Amino acid sequence: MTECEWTIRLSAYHDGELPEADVMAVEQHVSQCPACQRDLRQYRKLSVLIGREEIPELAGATLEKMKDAIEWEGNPVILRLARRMTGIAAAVVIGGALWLMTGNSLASNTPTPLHDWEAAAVSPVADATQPNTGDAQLAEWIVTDLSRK
Amino acid sequence: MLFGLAYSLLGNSADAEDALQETLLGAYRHVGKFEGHSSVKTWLTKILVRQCARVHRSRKARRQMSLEGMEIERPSNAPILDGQMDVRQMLAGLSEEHREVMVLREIEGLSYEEIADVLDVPRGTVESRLHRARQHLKERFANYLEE
Repeated sequence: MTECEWTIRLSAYHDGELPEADVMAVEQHVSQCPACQRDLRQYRKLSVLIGREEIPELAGATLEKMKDAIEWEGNPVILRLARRMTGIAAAVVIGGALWLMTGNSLASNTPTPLHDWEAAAVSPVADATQPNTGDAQLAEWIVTDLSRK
Repeated sequence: MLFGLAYSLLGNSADAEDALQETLLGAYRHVGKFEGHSSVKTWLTKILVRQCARVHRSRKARRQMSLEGMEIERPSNAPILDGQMDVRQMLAGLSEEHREVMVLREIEGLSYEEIADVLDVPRGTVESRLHRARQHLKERFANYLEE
C-alpha cells in the first residue's frame, strides 16, 4: 500500500505533539483513511510493546562501587596538586623559551604583542582550547574527555 | 532513570553500568562548567546518551575486528520468541539515531522539545526521526503488528 502523505504527521499525533489546529485536521483525515487508521493502530501497539520492556534494577553493590568511585574522584588532593604544578611548570618552561627566543627585543622598550597561539600556550588554564559555549558542547566535551582516559 | 536509559540504549546491564558510572564521573568532574541552560536531568541525559553512543561504536568496532575474515553466523532477523516480541532485540535493529529517539520517547517519556534538547537537534528532526523509526519497525514487524 502506498504511503499516505499524512503519515508523517501521524507519528506526532500519536505522541500528542501536534498543535491543536493540526489535531483536528489529522483526526478528520484519519476517520476517512484506512491506511492511516492501520498505521495508528500499529503505532499504539508498538508503544505498548516497548513500554512493557523490563528494566533490571541497578544492583546495590554497583551503586556502592559508583559512590566509591565518585568519592575517590573528590579526594585525590595530591593528584590535583600534581596536575596544577605540572601546568605551572609547563607555563614556566614555555615562558622561558619564549623569553630566550625574543630576548634581543628586550633592548627596545616596546614589547612585541603576543600572538594568539603564544598567549594560549602560556595560559595556565589547561583547557583553554575548549570553548564553553553551552551545555550540549560541554556534554560532548565530557564524553571526549572520558574517552581519552 | 539514567540506568534504565543506558540499559535500553545498550541492551545489557554491564555496559549500562559502565556508561552510567562514566557519565556520573564526567559530570562530577565538570559540574563547575555547567551553565544551566537546561535542567541537570537533561544535562546528565545528554552526557549519558553520548556516552552510550560511544560505547556502542567501540563495541561495533571490536566486533568487526574480531570477526574479520571469519564465517559469520547472522543473528536471527525475527526477535519473536514464543509469540512474544523481544523489545531489546527489536530496538537493537534500529540505527543509533532512531534507537535514541524511540527510547527517549517511548521508554523515558520525554517530550519532543526535551528530546531535541538532549540530542541537540531541531524539534523537526526529532519528529522525522521518530516517524522513520516507527516506519522501519512497522515494516520489519508487519506480521506481528497486524495480528
